[in-house]
Amino acid sequence: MTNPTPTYYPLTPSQKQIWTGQLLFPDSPLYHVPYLFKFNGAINPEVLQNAFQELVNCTDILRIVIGEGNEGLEQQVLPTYTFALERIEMGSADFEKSVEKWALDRSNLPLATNKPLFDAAILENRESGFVLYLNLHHVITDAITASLLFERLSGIYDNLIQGKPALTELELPQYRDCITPLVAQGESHAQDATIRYWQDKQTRLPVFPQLGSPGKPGLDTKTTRVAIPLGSERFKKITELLGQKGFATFTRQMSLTNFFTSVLTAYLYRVSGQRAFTIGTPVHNRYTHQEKKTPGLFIGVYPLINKIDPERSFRELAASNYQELAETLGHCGSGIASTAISRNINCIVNYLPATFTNFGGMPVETKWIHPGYSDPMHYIRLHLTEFAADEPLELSADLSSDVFTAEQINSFPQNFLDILDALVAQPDETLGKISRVNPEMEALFLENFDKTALAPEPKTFLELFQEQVQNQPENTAFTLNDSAVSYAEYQQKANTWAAALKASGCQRGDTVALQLGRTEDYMFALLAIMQLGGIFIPMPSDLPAERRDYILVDSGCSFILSRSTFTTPEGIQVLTPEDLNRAEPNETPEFNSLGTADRAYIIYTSGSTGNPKGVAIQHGALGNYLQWARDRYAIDAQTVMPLFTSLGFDLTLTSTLLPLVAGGRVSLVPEPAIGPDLAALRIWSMEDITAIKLTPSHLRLAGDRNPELPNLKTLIVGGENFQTALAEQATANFGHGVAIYNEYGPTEATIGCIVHRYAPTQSASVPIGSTIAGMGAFILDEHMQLTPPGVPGEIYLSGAGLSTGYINRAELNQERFVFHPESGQRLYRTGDVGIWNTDGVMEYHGRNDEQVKVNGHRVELQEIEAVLAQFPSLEGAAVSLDTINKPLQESEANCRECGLPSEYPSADFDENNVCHLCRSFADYQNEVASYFKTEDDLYQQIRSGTNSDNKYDCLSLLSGGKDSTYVLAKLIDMGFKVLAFTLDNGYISEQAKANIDKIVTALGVDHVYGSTEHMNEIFVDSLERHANVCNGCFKTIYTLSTQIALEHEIPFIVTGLSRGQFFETRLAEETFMDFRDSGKSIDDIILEARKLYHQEDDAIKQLLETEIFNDANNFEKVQFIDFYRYTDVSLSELLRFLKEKIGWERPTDTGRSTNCLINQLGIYVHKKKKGYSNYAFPYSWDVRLGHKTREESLDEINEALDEEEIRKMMGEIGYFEDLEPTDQLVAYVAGDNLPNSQELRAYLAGKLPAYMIPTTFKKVEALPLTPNGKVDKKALQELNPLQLGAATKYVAPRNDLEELLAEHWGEVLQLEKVGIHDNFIDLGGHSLAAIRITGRINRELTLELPLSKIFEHPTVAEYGVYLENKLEELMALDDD
Amino acid sequence: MKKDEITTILIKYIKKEFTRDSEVEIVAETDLFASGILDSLGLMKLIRFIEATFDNPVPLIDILPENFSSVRNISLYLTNA
Repeated sequence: MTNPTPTYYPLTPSQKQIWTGQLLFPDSPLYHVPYLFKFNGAINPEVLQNAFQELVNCTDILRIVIGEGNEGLEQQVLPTYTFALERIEMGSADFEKSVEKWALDRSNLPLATNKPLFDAAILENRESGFVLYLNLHHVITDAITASLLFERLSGIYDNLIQGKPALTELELPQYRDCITPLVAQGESHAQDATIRYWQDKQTRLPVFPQLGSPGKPGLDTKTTRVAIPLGSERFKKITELLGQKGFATFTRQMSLTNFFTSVLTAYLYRVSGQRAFTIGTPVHNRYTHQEKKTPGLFIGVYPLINKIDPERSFRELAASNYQELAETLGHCGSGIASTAISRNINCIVNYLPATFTNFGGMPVETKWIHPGYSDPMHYIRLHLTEFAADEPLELSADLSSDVFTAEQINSFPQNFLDILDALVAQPDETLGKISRVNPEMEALFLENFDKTALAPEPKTFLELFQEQVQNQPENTAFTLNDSAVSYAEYQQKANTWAAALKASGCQRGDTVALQLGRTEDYMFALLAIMQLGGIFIPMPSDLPAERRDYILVDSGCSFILSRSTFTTPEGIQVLTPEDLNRAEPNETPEFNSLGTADRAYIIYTSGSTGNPKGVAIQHGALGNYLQWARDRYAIDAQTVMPLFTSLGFDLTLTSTLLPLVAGGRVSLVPEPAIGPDLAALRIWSMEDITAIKLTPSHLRLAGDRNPELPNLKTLIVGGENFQTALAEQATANFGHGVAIYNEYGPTEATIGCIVHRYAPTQSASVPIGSTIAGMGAFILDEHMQLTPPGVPGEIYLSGAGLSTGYINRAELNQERFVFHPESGQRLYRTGDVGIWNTDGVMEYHGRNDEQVKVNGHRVELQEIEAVLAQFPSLEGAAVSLDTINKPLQESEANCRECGLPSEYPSADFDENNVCHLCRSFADYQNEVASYFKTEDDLYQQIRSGTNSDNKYDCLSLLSGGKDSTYVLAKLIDMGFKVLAFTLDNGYISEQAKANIDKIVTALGVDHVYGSTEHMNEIFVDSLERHANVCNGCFKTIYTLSTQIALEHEIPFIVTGLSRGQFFETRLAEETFMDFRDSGKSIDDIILEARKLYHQEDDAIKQLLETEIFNDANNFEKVQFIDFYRYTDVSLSELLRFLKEKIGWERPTDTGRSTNCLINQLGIYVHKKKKGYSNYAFPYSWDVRLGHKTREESLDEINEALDEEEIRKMMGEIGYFEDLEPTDQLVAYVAGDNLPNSQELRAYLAGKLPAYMIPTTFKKVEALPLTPNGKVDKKALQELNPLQLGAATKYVAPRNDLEELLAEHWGEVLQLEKVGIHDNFIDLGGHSLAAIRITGRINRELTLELPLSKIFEHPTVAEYGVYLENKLEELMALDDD
Repeated sequence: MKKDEITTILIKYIKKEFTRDSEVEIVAETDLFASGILDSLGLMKLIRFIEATFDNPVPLIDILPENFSSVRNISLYLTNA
């Protein structure tokens, strides 16, 4: 019943969401819901006008005005509102079209917010009739509302026509009566279970899949509505299916909704590969009879989580989606799903339960106009409408322009229907096998990309080369500096060599490795071997010996041609050019007839196992490529190509062989005898070259070298992703006359098999184009199904260029060379990701393994790289996904002897699970044993250093734990005058304090507490530097106790460090091994290190009074003694002693084995950041030295941590780092004038969605390259986080000395890579590391460098200079 | 639980949720669908309530008009299950 007061109401939860959305986009018609009702019969427009005013009078939502009130947004129901329904005369021509056009334009106009939120008009034409236009703002309407209004209007019109009174407001249900319950429902959910359901669901909502276009979704309200024509035939099939098991639900509407939701789920899976989706389902939220009759906004959108199992069928998918739908509907209610949930709903399947049957007995045609805009968070909205009972179901989709490209939008209806058809035709087929494209699309694909049938006449390189020798014998085949070799001379020399090879025993089918560098000899050898029918293996000249030998053995080589002899693996003969030149010149060619099936060469590429794998290529494959490339790249007798890239790289074969099949010339750019290969820089000044085959990284080198290549016509770029920015730069450098080709092809498919001539493009990378003659390329999903256009899949290759397989890798061959399940074609699986489009062009989207997940979003690293590369001053960028922080878990394995966890950096377990520390300990355990002494030695040392004038003989560090208590008790027992010192770090347990008091009382000893107001800052600093609290605490103790000792003239401070802790802080393998012969005592080394230790610039140095450590005398005045160096007491004996002497008891209120409460925070942080406890290492030494059993150690290391307590303490000390394991995108950027991270971030933010923006930007001097000229991401990833955070760029060592230094730094500091400008301290260097590094260098170079030098020259570069000077000095001395 | 108790609980719930305690008469025999009291959304909500209140999971396959068309049928379904 209508209540006249009050006239102000709050907004319902759904209204709030919509109005907030409108306020975000104030001018966008994103929430307009316009309808056109065409009356098929005579209408009295004046009566309709009156009826409409009556409708406004009796329907409160048509009098609602929304505005800001005292308590936020509110709606006011105006008592009256006069709305003059406009009559607009339309032209008769194309009446319907012009009406729609008018309606679209009109619906795009904003609705005035100071008036009720609707618009209406009569559009009429004498001949064509009348159309009612009605546009309501979504904030007052939903689908049922539209029906109800239409019904009311119809009723009123009828009444007026018949002279009856109109309906009155009081007779009809009104929205304002429902507002209170709608608001109340949102505020108090009846059941806690419902709240929990939504809270839980919110955390599980899958994100929207990435569909290939890297837009920044959620900002643009522009959407395009596309009709998806179902047709009656198809609809009949669907209807049939809906009656079947799995599809049938309680009602037809539910079955339809569930069916299309399931199709959309399957569609999204098929186009994205993602397996879980959030799909919103609009729920009418009208529960009572009255609500069902009330116009107004009730609807809410609720998320379904639909999951795909590719092994299950569409029927099973529909059944499980129904389950999810039913469960979700059971939890619905106004305002229950939060705004946060709504934001995650990016797809909607919307069944509009609205029908518009007839108007005053007249048939009506209803059209729902799409204003072209909708909620920007809705990327896909699928609408199912049945406006009239006898009309077929209509399907349409609104697609966001943010997320979909125009092409994707245009192809959506067909793609969707293709998948729908496949699903309906095979409802019981496993989803993974449902075809993703229709036959026409597949035919189009094959036409563009399967050119296997177009192979040229099979010819071998030799045949092609012979033609050149015959036709143009005087042409120059290759040049090296000033020397030129003609085709005839080339042939002749090859004949001689072939004869010589034959004489040495080389036969047809033999494999011959070539390690001759880019020389004339290499060219001769190639041809000679091919003439003999042999197989060549091109090897780069800098191939490490171990790898070379592996290849020789693996390939079953008989010979290696090398510039010098060396010891080869058994059965392999080394021949030098001199050996072959000794033979008599031979005019008669040594020819073995070659077929296209004969093997031509083997190229070794890097294998994931660590050993390279040999790819065997037959002559037919090589000939196919060369013939095609000759024609496509217009290679002719005028062609000059530089041979400058690594010989082990199949890309190089283009420069080596292609000119020779066209009478052109190879220009050899040899490697230098020593030093780096700068050939890639030299080519940019080789004026005569006309064509270059190179990698993008090589091309980048041209950038700032003002290349002078007047004859250049062709650039063939291959080997890695070719960014558009680089192609643009190359065009600017070389002019538009130079053709730039992007040639794609793995070694396994012979050099190149997909090619594209670069033309300006919008995409970030140059497409790879279409397949070459004789080859086929396919983009398939994991079920070997062709992917639709624009959808990423894996690139598979087929055709004449395919390798016969890897050498000796049966398993790998089976995995990589597969057969197409339908066509039976032999395919090579590249592991590369690509997409194709209907223009017949493929795009390369990186490696399969370059596709990473960041918080559920699929991210192509390459895409970020390509966008970054467009930033002006960047010369290169690489992006990788690195994991920071570790989950809290016990270690995977522990050393069988000492318990060292496998997570300890560079831990290396042998087959018996014994760690490297235990193994090498055997070598110096005698030295270690002699470091330890007796209690008597201790007594003598203290006694001799003190005298009776001293008030105290020594200061004993007392933590209250068993070890330090024992120390104190023993010192007293020995008769010394002792001052006990305890640091109160604020986290000593109450029981421990009581214990301390009890101990000092029992022993009758003086005791002081030390403390500092800076303790928390010291903890935080220690956590940041060392990922523990103990380091900071120890140093504070040393500092404060030394102050007291100096003050009281106490000559000794006695520590209770365990023997294991010595190895954490003072001792290392190097202390014993490397200083063995230095003549220095270990004590001297430790003292030297201790001086340096107090110079480190940490929080303690900054905050405490540390000037005392600047005076070297103070280190003499107060000496440190480690008590446990002098005793080997067992734990049980120790405990017995304590119990008897002073009744010591283990504190129980820390809940742990320690008496320090904050200790566990340190362990927690260490475990999170490093993956193991900071006690793992010292305890392993305690075990190794027999002071703990392995079990005791493991028990303590694995003690449970109280995370709640830890978080509390973190807050107390002010440590707020996020320690959850996360995958972080890291960008490595190279260039001279690098922008800072903020600039890069801001730049990317304009181009990429937030989740694609790297968290960290690391500057490097230049991107390291693999030998083949590709960016070496592994080397980049090996840069440590410490280095990533530093401002210095990574610069690789430049000479042997720097390399030696970097290696030792790396090993000691546990870093994979050390740049020469990285700072020792920044890398976590400390005095023990200084001992270890200096020790190693001293041993290696037989020097006696002091430890301090590493702090004076804290980078590899600086230390290198120091070392070099030192060595020169020494040499000068030797000369004297 | 006895049928009577179930009937009382269900009628009380239906009145509260679906008729807002208005004067609409609901008895055990009232056809919940024909009377427009329940539609599919309302049914799902009712089933959630039944599952939670009577600790009786309702498989989708059981959601048939004959099981849920009236409070009497629901009681029968629940006590026979």
